[in-house]
Amino acid sequence: MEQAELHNFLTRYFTANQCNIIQDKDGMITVQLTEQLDEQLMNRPFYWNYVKRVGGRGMPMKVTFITNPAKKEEEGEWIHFGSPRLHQMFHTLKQTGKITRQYESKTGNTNQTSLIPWLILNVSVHYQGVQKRNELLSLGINLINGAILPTFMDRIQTISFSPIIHDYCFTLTPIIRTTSALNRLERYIQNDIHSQDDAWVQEAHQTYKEEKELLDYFFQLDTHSNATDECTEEERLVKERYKSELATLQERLLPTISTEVINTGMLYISQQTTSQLLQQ
Amino acid sequence: MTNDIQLHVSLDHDLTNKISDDSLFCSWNTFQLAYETANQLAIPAFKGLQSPQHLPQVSFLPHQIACAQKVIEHMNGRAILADEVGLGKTIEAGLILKEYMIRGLVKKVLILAPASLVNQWVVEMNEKFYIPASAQRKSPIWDYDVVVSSIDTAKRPPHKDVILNTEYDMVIIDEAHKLKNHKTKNYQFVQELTKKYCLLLTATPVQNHLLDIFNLVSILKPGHLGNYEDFTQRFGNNRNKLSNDDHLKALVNKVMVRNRREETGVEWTKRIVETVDIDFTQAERDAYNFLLDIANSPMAFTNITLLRELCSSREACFLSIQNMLKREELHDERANQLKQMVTYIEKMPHHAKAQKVVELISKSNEKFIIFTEYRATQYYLQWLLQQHGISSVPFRGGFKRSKKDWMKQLFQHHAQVLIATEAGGEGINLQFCNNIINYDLPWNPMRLEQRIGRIHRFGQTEDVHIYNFAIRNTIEDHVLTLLYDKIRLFERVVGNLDDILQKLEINDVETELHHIYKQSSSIGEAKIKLNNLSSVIASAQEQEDKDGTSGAS
Repeated sequence: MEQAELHNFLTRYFTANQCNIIQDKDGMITVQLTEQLDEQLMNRPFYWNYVKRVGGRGMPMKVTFITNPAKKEEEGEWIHFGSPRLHQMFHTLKQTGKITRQYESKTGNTNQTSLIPWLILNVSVHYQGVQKRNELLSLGINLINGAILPTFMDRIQTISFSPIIHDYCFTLTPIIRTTSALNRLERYIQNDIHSQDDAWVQEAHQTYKEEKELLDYFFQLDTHSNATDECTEEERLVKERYKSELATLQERLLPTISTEVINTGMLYISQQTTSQLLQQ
Repeated sequence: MTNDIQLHVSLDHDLTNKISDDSLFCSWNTFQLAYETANQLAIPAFKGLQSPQHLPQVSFLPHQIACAQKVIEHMNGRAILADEVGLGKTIEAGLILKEYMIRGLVKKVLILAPASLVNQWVVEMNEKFYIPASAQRKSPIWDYDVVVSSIDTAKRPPHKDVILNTEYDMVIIDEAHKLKNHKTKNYQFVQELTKKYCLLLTATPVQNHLLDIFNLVSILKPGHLGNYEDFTQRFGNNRNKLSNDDHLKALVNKVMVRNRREETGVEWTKRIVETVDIDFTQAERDAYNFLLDIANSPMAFTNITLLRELCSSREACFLSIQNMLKREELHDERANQLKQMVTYIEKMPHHAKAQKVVELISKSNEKFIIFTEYRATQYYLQWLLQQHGISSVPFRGGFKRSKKDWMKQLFQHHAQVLIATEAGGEGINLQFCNNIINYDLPWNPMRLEQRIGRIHRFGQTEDVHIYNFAIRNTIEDHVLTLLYDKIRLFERVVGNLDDILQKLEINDVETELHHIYKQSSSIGEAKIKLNNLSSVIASAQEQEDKDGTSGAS
C-alpha cells in the first residue's frame, strides 16, 4: 500500500467506524476515537476494565496518525504498511466486516422497482506447496437465474447501497436457495483451481520425495540395528523421532489447497443494474 | 491439476444461517474495507519477499535480503545462518521469520538463545520486526505464540514437557555451535523438538571437528550428509575437509548461508589501538619490587596473582593479602613477608594507572567503557571517578538480567562511564559507545575479543578507540607487548582466535601463561618463552589467513 493509499484507507476506516475526524491535512489525520474503537486499538484493557468496574464513563483518546514521511517527526503516530496499529485495524475489520445485507438505493426514483437477490462471496484460496501464495476470488451469484459473475466487488463498485430498502422498492423471492447457491460457488471455485498452472504441485511432490529419501536413509541403519534388550528403548525413540520428522516433512512440503471465506452477504440489486452487470 | 493433492474447498454452510441473522450485519463501507484489507494482505506469488515492505523503517543490507530469500526459496526454511560475526545473523533470522508469518506459514515460534541474549532478541524482534516475542522468565508463558528462552530454562521441568509436546512452526537457535556435540543433553533436547522450519545461527559452524557440521545438519535435515557411519567413513573428522572436499562443500552449502565481510562490502569502522604506558611512582615501584623479591622463583600461582593485582590497584592486592593472612596456614616467614607487603601498600599514593584514567576521561565528553579484572579495582575506580565529578555505573557478569539491562540504560542515557569486571559473555551490545579502556588485561585473549566485540560490531558508526593500559616493566607489560601485540589481537577484526588456539591445542592461554612464569627461573627466561608462544600463534594465524576459511566458503 502506498502512503497516499494508506491515508485514504485511514480516513475511510475512521469514518466507517463513526469517529469524528478533527483534522485531516498533509498526510496527518487527527481523530476522536469512539469508546469501541479505543478499546479495539489502543491497547489499554486495564483502563477500560477499571472504568467499567467503577461504573464511570471512559474518555476515548484523541489520536493523530501520520502517513506523510516528511512529517514523521511531528507529534503523532507514524503509520506504514507494517505498523502494528494498522494491522490491528486490519484485524478489527476482518472480525466486523464479515456479513452484510444491502439494498441498491436509487434516489429520486418513484416507480415501483423490483430488486434481484444476489449472494456475494469473497473468498481467499490458499495454495501451499514448498511456498505459499493466496488469491482472492470475489463471486456473485444471481439467486433468480443462477448466473455467477467473477470479480464481483469490482463490478459493483459504482452501485450505491443502503442497509434499508427504499420505499418504492421490493425484493424478489430467491429461486435458488442459499445452500444450493453455496454448492454452485464451491464447484465454481474448484473449476477455477483446476484451471491453474500446477507446476508448483509437481515441485512440492518432487521436493518431498527427495527429502523423504534422505530421511529414510538416515534412519534405516539405526532401525535395523541389533535388537537386544537395551536397544529396544533406544530403537523405540529412534522410530518415534522418524515418525515425527516425517510428519513435519509432510506438513511442510506436501501441497494443499484450502479456502477461507473473507466475507459474504445478500445484495439486492435492481433489474436494470443486474442487466448491466450481466452484459459487462 | 493432479489428483494427489489435499483439497479443502468446502464452504461453511453455517453461512446460510448467518446470512439471515440481522445482528451480524455490517455497513457496506466496512464490508468493502474488509475485502480491500484481504486484498492488500494477499500474497499473489510463491516467490519473492513480502517482509521488507512491511518493515520500511529498517534498511536491510543486500546480503541480508539475499540470505532470507535463499533460505526461503531454496532451502525451504531449514538452514544454518553462518555469517561471520557482526553481519547481522539476527536480522536475517528476523526477516525469514517475518516472511513466514506474513505468508501465514508460521505462528508458533520458539527462539533459544544464551540467557544473556534473551532480552536482546525480545527487543529486536519487537522493535525491528513487530514480532510480538516474549521472554520466558519464571512463570510459564508457553501459550504465547513467540517465546524466547535460554536453553537451560527450556530444558528444565516443568517447561521441558510443555515444549516437547508443542508443535512449533519455527525453532530458531542462536549460538548453535554449542550444540555441536550430539551426546549432550542440549543436543538431544533440540533434536526432540517438533519443528517445521528451523534456523541455526552460528559464526563458527565448524569449530574443531568436521563432525560438528554433521551434527548441526542432522538437526535440520537428517540424512543430508548421510548417516553417521557413512560420514565418518567418507570424510573422517578432519575439519579441513570442509574447504578441500568440493562434494562436501556443495552439500553443506545447500543448507548453509555464510557471508564473509569482504564479500558483503560492509564497511567496518576502524579500530584505533593505543597503548598507554604508565610508570609506577617510586612508592609503587618499591612495593612491586618487594613483591618480586619475595616471590620465589619459580613463581607460585598466588604470587603471580598478587603481582597482577598490584598493577591494577592497591585495593585488589591488599584484599588478596588480607584473605591469605586470614584463611591460609602460612609459614611465619611468609606471613611476615605479606605483612611487610601491607606496609608497602599503605605507603602507596593513588594508583598511577587510575589517575591516568581520570586524566584521559576528563579530557573527553565521549562515553567510555573500562574493563578491569578485579572487583576491588572496580569499586576504587568508581569512587575515584566520582571524586572528579565523572559519573559511572558498574557492570558485572553476576548481575541479574534485568539489572544488566538497567545498567545499560543508565549508561546509554545518563552516565559517562561504564566500569565492567566482565565482558558478560556474549552479553549486551554497547554500540553507542566507541571507547574502551582495557584497564588491566585478562590472560585469556578470548575475553579480550569479547570485550571489544561489545562495541565494535554491526551498527557501530564511529571508529573504535581501544586504550590498553600497562605499567612499564611489569608482568602485564610483558603479556601486552610480547604476546597480545605480536598476535595483533586488538587489530584483527575477524575473531577466529578461538579456532586457531584449538587447532594448536592450546586450551587455555591463562594456564599456559602461568606455566611460563612458574617454570622460568628468571624474568628473562619467561620473556623468551612468551615470545615463542606468540610466534607459534602468529604463524598459525598466517596459515589460517592464507587458507582464508574456517568453514565452507
